[in-house]
Amino acid sequence: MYKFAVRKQKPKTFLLLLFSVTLFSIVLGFLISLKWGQAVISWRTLFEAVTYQGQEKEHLYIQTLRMPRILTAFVIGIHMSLAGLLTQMITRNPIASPHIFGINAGASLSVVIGLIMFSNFSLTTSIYFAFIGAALGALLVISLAGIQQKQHVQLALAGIAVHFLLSSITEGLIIMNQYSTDSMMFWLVGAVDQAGWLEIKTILPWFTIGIVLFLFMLPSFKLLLLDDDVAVGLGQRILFVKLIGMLIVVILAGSAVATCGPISFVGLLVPHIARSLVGSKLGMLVPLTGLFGGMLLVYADFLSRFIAFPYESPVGILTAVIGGPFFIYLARKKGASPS
Amino acid sequence: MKRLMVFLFSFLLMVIFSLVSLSVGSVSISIPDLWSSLLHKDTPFSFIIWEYRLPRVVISILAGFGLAVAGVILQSLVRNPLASPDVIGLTKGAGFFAAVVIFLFPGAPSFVLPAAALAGAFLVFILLLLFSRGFTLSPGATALVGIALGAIFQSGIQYLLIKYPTNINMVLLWMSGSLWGRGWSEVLSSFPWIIILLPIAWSQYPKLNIFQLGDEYSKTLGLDLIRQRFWLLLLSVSLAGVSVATVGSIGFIGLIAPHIARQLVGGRHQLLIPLAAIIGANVMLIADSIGRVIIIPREVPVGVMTAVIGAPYFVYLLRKEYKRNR
Repeated sequence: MYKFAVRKQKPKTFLLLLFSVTLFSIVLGFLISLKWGQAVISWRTLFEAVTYQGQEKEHLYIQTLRMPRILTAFVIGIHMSLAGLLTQMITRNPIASPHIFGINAGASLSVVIGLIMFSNFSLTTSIYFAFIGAALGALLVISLAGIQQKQHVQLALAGIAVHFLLSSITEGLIIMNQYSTDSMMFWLVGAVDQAGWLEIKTILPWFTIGIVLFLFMLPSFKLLLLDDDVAVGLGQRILFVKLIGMLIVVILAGSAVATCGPISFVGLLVPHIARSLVGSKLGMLVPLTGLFGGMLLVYADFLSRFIAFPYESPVGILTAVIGGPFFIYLARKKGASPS
Repeated sequence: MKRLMVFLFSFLLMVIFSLVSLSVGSVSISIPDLWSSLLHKDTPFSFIIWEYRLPRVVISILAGFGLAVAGVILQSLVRNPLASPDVIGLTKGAGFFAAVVIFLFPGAPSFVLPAAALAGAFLVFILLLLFSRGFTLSPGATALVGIALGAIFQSGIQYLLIKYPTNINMVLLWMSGSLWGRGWSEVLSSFPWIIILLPIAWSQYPKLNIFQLGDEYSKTLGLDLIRQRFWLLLLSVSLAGVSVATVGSIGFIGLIAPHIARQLVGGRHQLLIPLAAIIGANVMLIADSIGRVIIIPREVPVGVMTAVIGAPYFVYLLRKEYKRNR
């Protein structure tokens, strides 16, 4: 069984430094993403645009394209990484993530079904579709592998089998329905480049609900770190806590997938990095995971503009390239333990 | 006796489904016509039968054999009923190489595509070997590393898809697996391999039976674990690789067929391997036939149909697991 490493309390100065460096990097990431891209903007124009002083073409470019896009990347990063952290806590399994849990694939399938069935398919409805799909995907995997399951390999295999099942149906739908194949493919990899202020407005309520619920449940989630028996002994309704946890995961991951497509591996990678820095103390771990997730996606989005410059590449490719090898590293570490 | 009946029945089903697959399609052919066209070469339908449908049926059967047996071997090696060639990344690796050929060398001769797919499957095998600690291919690590490799190759495929959107449909078609446009040349290129590999796979049944018991028992019973795992995995990769190279990355045959077979005859591989092969062929034939008639004149790719057929079985499987876990 996997136990989260119990680490010594880190000194306060270290934490302070860590958080300030993170915040600084986030601000820096915002700035460079605003400045560089297909069109290079001068610092002066950038400043004017951000403070809404100019009405030139370049100002509008920043205001209507780059700003919402970067904000979306940040928000989606928070969503995905917190969803990942929560799935890892609920299943007590280091390789759990929305991707492995069939949540991303389920949400994508139901969004694609919605796109094909209804011609006027708005983003708001697609979020509800994504919730249903995400919940169904998670349900499939849980019933195949069991939520109390402590076997990493079983969960991974069940999750990936469900993932393949759902995504091959999605692919089939796309092949049969030849309208807008390109844009759908782009979306299926996970991309933030199409995001505008509308996307931000739509996802913001779910962001708030998800985060507030998460913080509200934080004291109960602390008991997820213990053994189930111990938690029950302490008077926790463990199943109820896990259910609420899954609900939060579905809200966070589902709304993210509906907005930007299934961006993979952020949910797997980020919680591990954060945990290796501050240990498993939730009061530190949760905010740091969120910030790291946002930061990672802002930088990944920035880099993804240059993969096939001057064309955009979806950010999901980059996160997969970063996250895949990390998964192999985890697999080598955990796969050696008896399955 | 019951086992014999099971074999007879599933073999009969295979024959029936082959005939059905020969007769349905955008031009449907009645059974008497079918019979006379098979016997004499000069009826109006004989061209369709001999040049289009018969090779498809043969390929369906061969690919079904290959994928199902590859699945049986993998499930015993990983000791988990949810393992299959697509789950451990073989089909994605093959798919990535196929996509590279389709996109970057569009003028390449037709034999390059399957060769590249085969190379991709073997690359995954080599990577699995390299990333498992000390070349041991321990079951857990193999499964997890395979999943990760699959995800990486998947993102590679997606990158190519987005970079070169002109050939997108061809790649998607290949990716989900299709029998469209397969003829005798494909049969000729895959037939020898499958025919050679299948008996070899069957002859390994004593080792596979022991493998199921677990590492400790296998060692005690005198099995050279690491070496045997290497050869068996190589066998499984070759079978899956040849099949995928011929028909594209069709999923779920390697997962479902071994399951159904295990339900019918239990876990002894001397029976399991042949039955799984026949059932794999059956599933392929059914999926292909349905895919051809569901929206005439277009075709639903057979890989999509196997997923759609696989879904209900999956739910059934999951209910059983759920009951067992309780």
